[in-house]
Amino acid sequence: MQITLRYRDEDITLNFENKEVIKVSDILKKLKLTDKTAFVVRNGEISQPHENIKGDDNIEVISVISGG
Amino acid sequence: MLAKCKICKDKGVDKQALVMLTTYKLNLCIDHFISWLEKRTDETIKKFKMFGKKEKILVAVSGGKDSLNLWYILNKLGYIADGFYVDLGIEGYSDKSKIFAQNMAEKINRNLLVVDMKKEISDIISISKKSKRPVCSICGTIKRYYFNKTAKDYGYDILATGHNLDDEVGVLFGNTINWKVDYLKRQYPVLEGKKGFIKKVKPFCRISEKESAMYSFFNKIDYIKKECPKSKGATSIKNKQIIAQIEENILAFKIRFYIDFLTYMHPLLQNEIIHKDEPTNCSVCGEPSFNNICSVCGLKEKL
Repeated sequence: MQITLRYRDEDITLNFENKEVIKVSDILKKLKLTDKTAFVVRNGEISQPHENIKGDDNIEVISVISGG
Repeated sequence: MLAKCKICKDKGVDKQALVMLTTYKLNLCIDHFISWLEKRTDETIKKFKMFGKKEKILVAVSGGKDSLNLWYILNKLGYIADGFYVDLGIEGYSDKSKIFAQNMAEKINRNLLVVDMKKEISDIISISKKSKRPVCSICGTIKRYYFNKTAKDYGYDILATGHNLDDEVGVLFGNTINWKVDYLKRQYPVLEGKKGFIKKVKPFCRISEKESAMYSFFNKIDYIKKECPKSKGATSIKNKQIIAQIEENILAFKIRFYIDFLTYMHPLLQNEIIHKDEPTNCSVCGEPSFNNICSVCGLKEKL
């Protein structure tokens, strides 16, 4: 399954092989993030890690760590 | 079962919580989270005696979430706060980050002072190449110099930066594991003004990065999410990632590590006084310096 989302002001596509149901936590894990270092906005609202993603969801991942 | 907002519940209202502040065991609805964060910022200002309502504050604004949020909140709380932005001339980045700073100035109807490094000296990439110093080091030197100088030139009493809890803990962690005692002595939310240096404060030092990011989201404050292209592999980011892992295993690690350091260790370090030279005035520009010529005038000479 493929999910396209917005991350750090860019559109990216994530591939999830052998998965029929994708949760918010799966997206964070794929991007090597946790719910301490990021949150997921789904259709304009913050989603909790246990929630399922639907194919037509508009998703943005907000990574909170900044620096340099 | 969905968590309920604690503050609403205390008032007899049944409302779903959308923000789970596990550090404080507090679940809040959007409105109460926003007021919680603003109140926490104001409490930090008062606790560390940072400034009052009559002082003129200059906020260092980068276009990132923390500085923009701080600027927004200070004005909402009734403080007199303008913004200051340094255009570092980083291609594909500085032009974008400046727009967010300008948008905030318009939103809150406050002044944004801008220094353009290409006009002052050069873009910082070129400065870094010619001086053979890392870009991040040049960036820090430049920002500190112009932040302080601009505040004095325009009559500001206080300099405020958006350093948040994660920033402070990252620095504290790095200085502790390397035992940089001199830096640990100086780590505090307030740097008092002296000899040409304006008082500098960090009102967001008890606000975590995630709390700040959620505040931006709920208040529709747009900021640059793209990382500075020169920050890849930065030690500060690596330290934050390590600390995030510690926080996964030790609840409230960040806030306790930082506040306990300020409460117990910082006072002990002040008793160890190491006499160092007081700053003098740079022989070229007159700004405070610990050398005959300050760092920025030194860079200008090399270019």
